[in-house]
Amino acid sequence: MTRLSAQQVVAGVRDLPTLPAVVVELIESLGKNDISAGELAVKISHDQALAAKTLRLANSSFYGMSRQVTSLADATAILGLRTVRCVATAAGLAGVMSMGSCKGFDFKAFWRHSVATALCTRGLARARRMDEETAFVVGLLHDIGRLALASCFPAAYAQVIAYQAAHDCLPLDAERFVLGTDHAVAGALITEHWRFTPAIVEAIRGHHDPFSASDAASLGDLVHIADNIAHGLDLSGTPDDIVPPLSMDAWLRLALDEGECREIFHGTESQYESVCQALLA
Amino acid sequence: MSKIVLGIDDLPGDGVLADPVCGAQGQVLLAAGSVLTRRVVESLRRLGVRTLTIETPAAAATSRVAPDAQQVHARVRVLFRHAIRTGVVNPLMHFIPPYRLGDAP
Repeated sequence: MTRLSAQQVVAGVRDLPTLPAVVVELIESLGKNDISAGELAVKISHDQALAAKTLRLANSSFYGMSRQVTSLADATAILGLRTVRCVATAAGLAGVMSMGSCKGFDFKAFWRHSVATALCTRGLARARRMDEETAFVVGLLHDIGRLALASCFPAAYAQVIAYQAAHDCLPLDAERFVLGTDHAVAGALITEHWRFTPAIVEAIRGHHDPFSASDAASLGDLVHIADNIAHGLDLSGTPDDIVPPLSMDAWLRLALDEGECREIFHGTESQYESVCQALLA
Repeated sequence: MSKIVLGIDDLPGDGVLADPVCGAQGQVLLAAGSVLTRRVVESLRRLGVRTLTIETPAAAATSRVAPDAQQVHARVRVLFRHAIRTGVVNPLMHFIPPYRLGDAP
C-alpha cells in the first residue's frame, strides 16, 4: 500500500498541467453575467484548439442547429453567451488532461462517464430550474480527482485499480484502503487550485456524500444523482462498471418521479454520442 | 450505430431519425427513432431545419430488434450489485429496466 498524505496530494496536484489562461478566465466568469459576447469570442479565438472544439460541439446534435455554425461570433449569437461559455470551458478542460501512464486506467471510459454525468447533471438542473451551465461543468469534472491521482501517482493508482478488480469494490473504497485518501478529496483540491468557485469545489468534494444546508436540492445533490444515473445507464462501456450507493437524502430533496427520470435518461442518451465525439475527438 | 447526414431535400421516403432534432435552447423537437414521414419533414423544413441525421438501413434493422428482457435485468443486477449486496435502496434499479424495455411507466 502507498499511503498519501494530504501534503503529497496537494504537491502532486500543483504539478499538474496549468490550464490555458482563457479557460481560467472562463471558469472565473461562470455564473457572472457581466462579460460581453464579443469579448468572449475574442478570448476563445486566442486558443485555436479550444476554438475548434467549441465550434465542433456547437455543430453537434447536442445543440441541434439547423445550419452550420462557422464562427465564434456566430456561435455566440445563435447559442447564447452562457452556452458558448459552458461549451468552451468544457472543451478547454477536456483538452488539458492528456493520456496518463497509469497501468489499467481507462482514459476513454473515464471521459465517457464524465460526459454522461455532465449531460445528466444538466438535465436534472433544467428539471429543477437550477443553473444548467454550472451543473454541466460540475458533472464533467466530478471525478477529476481520479484523473489527478492517476496522473500524479501512476504506480500507486495502479495498485488502487488492481485492488478494486481483485475485491470487486467501489473505486472510492479501494482508494481509501490503498492510498488513505480518495478522488473526491483530490478533486476538491485540484478545482480549488484551478480557482473554481467554492460551490463547484464543494459539489465535487461531496459528490459521494452530498449535503444541502436546506430542504432544497444542492449542486452536490444533482451531481450525486447524475453520477448514479450515468453508471446505471451503463454509458461508459466498461464491463465491470458499478453503481455507487445512492444518498436517500439527496434523492428525496430532488424528488424525482419515474416519468421525470425517463426524460432525463432519454435526454442524456440522445445527446451522449455526439458530445463525446465533439469533446473527446 | 451507422448513420448519415443528409440535406432535408435529399431524404429517402420514410427514413428513421438517428439523432434527435433539438431547438436552440436544447429542447428535443423530434426524438431519435422517429419515422420521417412527408408531413414531419415539411414541419421540420418550416422550422428552418436543413440537415438531418438518419439511420442507414443496416443500423435501422439492428436498432429495431427488441431488447431481451433477461439480458436487461441481468446487466442491471451486475451494475447495481453494490446496492443488492448491501441492501441499500436505489429506486433507479427499478426505473432503468422498464425504460430499457420500453414499458409504460
